[in-house]
Amino acid sequence: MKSKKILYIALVIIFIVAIIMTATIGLKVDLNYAEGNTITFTVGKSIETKEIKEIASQIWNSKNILVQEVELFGDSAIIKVTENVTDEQVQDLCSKINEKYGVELTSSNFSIEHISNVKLSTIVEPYIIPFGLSTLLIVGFYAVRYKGTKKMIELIRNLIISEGLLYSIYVIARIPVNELVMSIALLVYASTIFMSTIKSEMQLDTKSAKKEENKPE
Amino acid sequence: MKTQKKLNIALVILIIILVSLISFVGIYHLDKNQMVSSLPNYILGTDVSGYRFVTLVPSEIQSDTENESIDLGEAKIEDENSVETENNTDGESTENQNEDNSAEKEKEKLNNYKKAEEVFRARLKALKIDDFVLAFDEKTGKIELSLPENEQTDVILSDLVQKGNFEVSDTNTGETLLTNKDVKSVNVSATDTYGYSIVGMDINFNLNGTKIFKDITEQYNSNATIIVNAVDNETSEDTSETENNVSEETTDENTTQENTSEENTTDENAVDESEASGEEVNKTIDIKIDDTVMLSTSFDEVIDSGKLELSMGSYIDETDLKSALYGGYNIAAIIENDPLPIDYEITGNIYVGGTIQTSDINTIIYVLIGIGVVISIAMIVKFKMKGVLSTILSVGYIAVLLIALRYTNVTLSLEGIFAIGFAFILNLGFYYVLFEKIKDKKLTREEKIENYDKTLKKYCISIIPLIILSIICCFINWDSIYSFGMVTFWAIDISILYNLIVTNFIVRSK
Repeated sequence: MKSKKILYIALVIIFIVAIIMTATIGLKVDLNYAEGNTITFTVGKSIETKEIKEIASQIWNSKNILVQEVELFGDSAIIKVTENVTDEQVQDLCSKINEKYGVELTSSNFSIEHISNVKLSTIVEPYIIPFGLSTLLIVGFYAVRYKGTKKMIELIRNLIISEGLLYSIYVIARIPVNELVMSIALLVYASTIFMSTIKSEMQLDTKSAKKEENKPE
Repeated sequence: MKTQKKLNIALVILIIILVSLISFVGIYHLDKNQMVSSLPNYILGTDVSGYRFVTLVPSEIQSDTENESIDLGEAKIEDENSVETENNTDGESTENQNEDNSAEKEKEKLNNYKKAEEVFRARLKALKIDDFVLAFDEKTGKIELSLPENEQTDVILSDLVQKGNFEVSDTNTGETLLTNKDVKSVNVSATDTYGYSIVGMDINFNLNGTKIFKDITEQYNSNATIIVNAVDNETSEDTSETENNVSEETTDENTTQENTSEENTTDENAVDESEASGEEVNKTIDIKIDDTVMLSTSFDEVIDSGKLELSMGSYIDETDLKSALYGGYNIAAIIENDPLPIDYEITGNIYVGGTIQTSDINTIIYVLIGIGVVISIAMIVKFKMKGVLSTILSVGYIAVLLIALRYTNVTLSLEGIFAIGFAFILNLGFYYVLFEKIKDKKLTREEKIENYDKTLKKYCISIIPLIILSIICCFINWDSIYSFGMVTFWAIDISILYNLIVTNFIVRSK
């Protein structure tokens, strides 16, 4: 009982820290969702995104570079960086690509564009309805199966704790929010529901076993 | 007795190895000197396969950069003027007024950008494209849109930046009678009739629109005429320049007068003639989008249902039908939402490979396999031979699931891949509970069967919440959520079936 109390206090502290950090410094966003600049170019020869990433990281001295293939011919790529893109950097990129692939590109073959950030609400929004609706229906199932509100409250508490903890880890540990975040949230959600149901079923078994034992012969 | 059981287990293991080989390695046949997989390929989601990246820019920004030199010239003139005005006694007040005006203009511009972003979102949602990511720059109005790549993408983009001013107006006077604001919803559907399909569009008006539309159908009935004077008809000249986007046909209630642009011209000539003579012409209405006349019509009877039914043509070929439907959906999305407050244009339209690279997917798969291996080792340590058996059975289960996912055309996004891993652990969980209950060597065969039945029943009840979750996810029009829902749904179904057939066979073996 005491250890449970300590656990709850620790959780509350973690959640408060996460909320304060969100309000003050916000979440750390991965490059794909962040504001930045893109450089699009066509080499005219088959390229590997890995090789382009290596070249780009030499120029921008950063590992935080996103390289994606463009179109279906495998000869074009798009580089995204958070830093400003200078003419010298483009020239450098051009000469390195020319050297690597034996082509004669010029700076004019590289188109640079400023990209706005993606609001995180856009990423979370589609999950609200399935999460909300399924929670509502599953709570309904709990009400029928386990009779009473105790198990329903337990389930909601478990969901808040597990998802809240995941969110807090992302905020406090400064893990960049990327495409994986909602997949993990969905997985945590499904696992919590399954574990809670298993636990409730086991408790139901114990309860009915006790009832059987107490039955007068 | 024991030999029979061992033989049964060996048979099951052999079948599992065979199925696993088919699923993980595949079956290939020779086709045009190439080895081609006989199994259907996995369908990958947009986060894995790729998406369309589109840049939308307000037209004024484009023209701003083009007219930069002109602006600079004008600025010089303005500067000169301002020097002159400074000399004037009321110079300061003029400057303040100019500042106020420019601040107001700037505010209006920003509001227009915001409104345009909302319109684009609403149009995409009306097109049931929920699976898009929109990045918006509030200062410049620039929008970067990531759309799923499919056969509809190009059709959507062809009309997305249309301003979308929907109007029902008097053909003769040009008076606007109904606009986008009077429209509640628009439905586009295809009806099969004797081997061909008719595409129809129903424009449902809101309360105010219904009242106005009823008045229109009363006033603009096919018998109503108007004496056209030369002064009244200045506006009708516009119609000769318009093109008809929709191949119009009359519905039971409407009488279409002009179907093609050629006919428009003919009708216009008729009006011109009547202008000269001051003759009577039929009262008709024009249905326009951005001043382009889609249809000119009058009505046979009064319509009080608030529904304008239009036919968009009949099609035999399925590809033509699809194009017509997609085009119809585009028009519907434009009509049922507000028009764009400013002009936009598409400056970038490229197909970009998935943000998750093949190496990332491989890492995720290796991590999932690693977790599976750890759990399997734990099972082997705890249950010895039964642990080995549970691992083999779980591998067989995943093999069957992967084959099912190929044949059921389930889209595999990142969430879907996670769901496969989740299903593996779920099934192993079932084996853990089952072997925990039947590990006692003193148990008779009947007791083991009873325990198996109880465990399977409990397992089925425990996964009901997951079935609820998966079914809800299956109805969500977002690639990742849909993928998770479909994979979980099939994973649960196959898990129950697999345990009912394979595990049941092993437990009941004598």
